[in-house]
Parts: sequence; C-alpha cells; structure tokens
Amino acid sequence: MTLSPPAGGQISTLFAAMAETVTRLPRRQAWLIALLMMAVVSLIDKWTGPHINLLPAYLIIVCFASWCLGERAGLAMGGCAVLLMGLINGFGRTYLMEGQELPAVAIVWNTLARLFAVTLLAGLAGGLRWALDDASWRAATDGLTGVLNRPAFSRRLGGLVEQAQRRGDALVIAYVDIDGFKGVNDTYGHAAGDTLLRQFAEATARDIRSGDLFARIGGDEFILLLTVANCQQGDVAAERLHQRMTSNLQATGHDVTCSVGALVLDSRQVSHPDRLTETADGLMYEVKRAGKNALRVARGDLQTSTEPEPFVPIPDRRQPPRIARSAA
Amino acid sequence: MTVFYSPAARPWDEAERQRAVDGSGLLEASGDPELERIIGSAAEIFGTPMAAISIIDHDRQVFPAQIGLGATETPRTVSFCAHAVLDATHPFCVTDATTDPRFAGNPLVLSGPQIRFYAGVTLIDASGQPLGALCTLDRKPRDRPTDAQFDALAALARQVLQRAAAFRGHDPRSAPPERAAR
Repeated sequence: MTLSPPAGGQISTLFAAMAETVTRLPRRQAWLIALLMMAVVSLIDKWTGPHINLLPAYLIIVCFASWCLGERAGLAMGGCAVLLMGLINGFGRTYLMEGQELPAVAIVWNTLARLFAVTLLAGLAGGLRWALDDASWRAATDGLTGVLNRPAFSRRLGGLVEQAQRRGDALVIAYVDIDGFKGVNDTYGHAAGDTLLRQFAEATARDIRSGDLFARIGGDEFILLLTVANCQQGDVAAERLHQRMTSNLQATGHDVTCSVGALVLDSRQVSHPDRLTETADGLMYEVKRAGKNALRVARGDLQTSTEPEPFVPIPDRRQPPRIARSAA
Repeated sequence: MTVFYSPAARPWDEAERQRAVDGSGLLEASGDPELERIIGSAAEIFGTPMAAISIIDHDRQVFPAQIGLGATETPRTVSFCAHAVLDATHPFCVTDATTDPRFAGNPLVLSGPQIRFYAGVTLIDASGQPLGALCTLDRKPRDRPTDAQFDALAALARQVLQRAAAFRGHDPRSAPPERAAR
C-alpha cells in the first residue's frame, strides 16, 4: 500500500498560499504591519460608529500576529482589540435606547465573548503555524539521529555556498563513513547500532559550528559542509573533525573508527552547488579505497583538473590586466 | 583526477610527547647558527637544495632552522615530519611524493616548495619521545639514499639534540624569546 499526499480544499489552499507569503516576513516587519493594521482598523471603527461591527477585521489582525509572531503576540493583539472595541464602541450599547444603562452582566458577557473569539483564533493560527514548523522540521531531519537528511542538506547547500562566496570564505565538504559499524549491528543487534549512531551524531553536532551543515545520508554514512576562513584552515578543520569524530566514536564504547574524505575548496570555484553533492560521491569512493581510520584530503584550490567537475578556474590576479601601458 | 593526501595521525601518547617538546628547548632555538650549520651539513651529504629541523608542536610544525623552504612554520596537517615521528625507529624516506598516496595531494607538493623527495630521521629526546625530524628535501624525485647517508643524518640529529640542551629551561611563556634564545 502506498500513501498519497492529502489534498486540500479550495479555500484552504488559498489560505495556505497566503500564509506561506507572510511566513517569510522578518519579525520586525511583521510587528510593524500588525500594529499598523490595528491602528487603521481602530480608526475606521471609530469613524463608522457603534452600528458597524468590525470584529472580523480585528480577528484577522489577531490571526496574522499569532501566525507570524507566535501565540503570545496573537493573544496580546487580541487583548488590545477587545480593549479598543470596548473603548470605541462600548460593550453592546447599540441595542439599547438612549439613556438606558447596560446591565453589568451584559458588559461582562460581551467582553468574555470577544475574549473567547480572539483567544480561539490566536490559538488556531498559532497551532497551525506550530504544526507547519513541526512538519517541515520532521521533513528535514533524519528520524534516528536528529541531524539533517540528505534532501535537506542539498536544499541548504546553495544558501551556504552563496554566503561563503560573498564573504570570500573557503569550504570543506567532508564525507564520513564509520568503520566497523556492521560488526556492532551483527554482534550487539540493531538497537545497539542505532544508539551508537545517535550518540555519535549528537556529539559531532556539538563539535561543529551552528552555521555548518551535518547530515546523515544513509546507514553509517554522513556528510558535512564546513565554512572556513581560507583553504589552509580547511586542511586543519578536516584533521580536527577526524580527530573529534574518532574520540566521539571511542566514547560509544564500541570498537569503531571513522574514515573521512574531505575536499577543500575556494568558494569562488563552485560554479553550481548541486555538483558539490556529486563531489561527495567521489570522496566516498576515495575513502572506501583508502581503508579503515583513513583521512583523505584534497585541496581543490591547488588542482586544475578535478573529477567530477564542480570547479571553474579562479581568475589569476597575480598578473596585471592586459592593457598596454607606456613606460613613461 | 583529484589527488588526495593524508595528514599524519597523532601518536597515542601525544600529550606526553607535547610536554617533551615544550621542555626540549628547540622551540626557543630559532635562528641558532649551530643548528644552521648542522642542516647545512645535512643538505651537503644528501646533495639537496632544502633541509630543515622540524619540531611538531600542537597544530603546527616549527622550523628552528631551515634552508630553501622559505617558511618558519606550517600547519601540522601538511607536515612530512609528522609522519616521520610516528615511526621513530626507522629513517623516513619518500622518493617521489607525487606517486605516494600519503603525499601526492599535499599542498607542499602541489605548491610552495613543491617537494618531491624527502629523507628524514626522527629527533628523539632522552626519554624516548619523538620531537620532530631532521630532514633533507628536493624538488625532484631521487633514489633512496644509502644507509651510510642515513647514518650520517642520524649523527647530525644527535648533534641537534645536544645543542638543544643549551636552550633548555626557558619556558617560552614565561621568558621573552630574545632572552631565551641567547
């Protein structure tokens, strides 16, 4: 049996599309928009007088705030809305004759009704947003180890490469294979193997910087992308990574080591980020050939011809441009 | 075809080895004329344009004396001598680095001094810890040197360690290098 993805109704897909656009808003901008909308709606509310009920407009603001800024912001906006509605239009005076007093119980009831409406909407919008975030986190994460999975790694690669190119940083792409993992699985069972992978991944994730990428690409194979200041630092980072991961594996108590293939690159050499993942396959081949506990490093910046072809030659800046200059 | 290299593994008793390096005096011996003379002899015996004393110190290798390398230190990852340190009982020799999988893609082979040939003996202190190596290097591949040449290199290595005694007892972190290197 195969599971097909759920289909949405017309209104839900429209809302989903709208939600997707506002999801990308920076926090500051979202706050600004929410406060601005609140000001505009309350002005309109004042102008239209108590005969027109603007509750839906206030609720939209509450939904927006809760979706973009979190449930607390949504509730705060809801509180503001209830207060403003009360101050501007009273608590149900519309239905009374001139000069008649509104009973206290009605004031309380109406206020509670409004509060209930804003809380419900803030909770719904916030809950949906949380469900969406949770789903996208699950889709990007390897279920066993909690690190990225391969598709998520590939998706994030482009952004990281562009950032490195802007800063003129160097990149290290490292392929990691755990030696002796099959033996652990065969001797101690798959549960022990899973625990080993989880412990190794958690410890290694702590050893790298938050901006680096770390993904499990299957079985006992992992891939990393590290950003470093220059290629010389890349060599050092690769060696340090191998050392750290070796001691992380020792800490699991099993007789396992790791083999690492690393390619150090000037980020300007990367013509297309997608090809970097292809490069990882070449690293995998090199590591499998090299044997256990191996560390194999290639300096892409010092080599002109490489396979596969993720590189473009760096323009030579040592020579002045070819413009004829007179000696005088 | 992408060429790779392998940085040397760290000795299992690296912390102890590092303590031996810190106490050896060789890190403070930079520019010593006696050491310069010794590596001059080494280059002469092997007929190479480059020779060096390399001390493996934390994440770098330091050259208290060198001819033709044009650097005073490099990262440990690219060090040939860090490989030599792993087997202190034999001289370490690479006749053509481009055909050795440990060195073919090494940055010092692909660029800079473009090393092809390396011959070194380990500098072992009185407690038996390898501190680094005395080595000769060339830009072109060479045949394996004779045992007599290696014996001569080992004798020079002993001279290096004797000379190091003159610099001992100066902690580089507590005394300024000018005073320590006198």
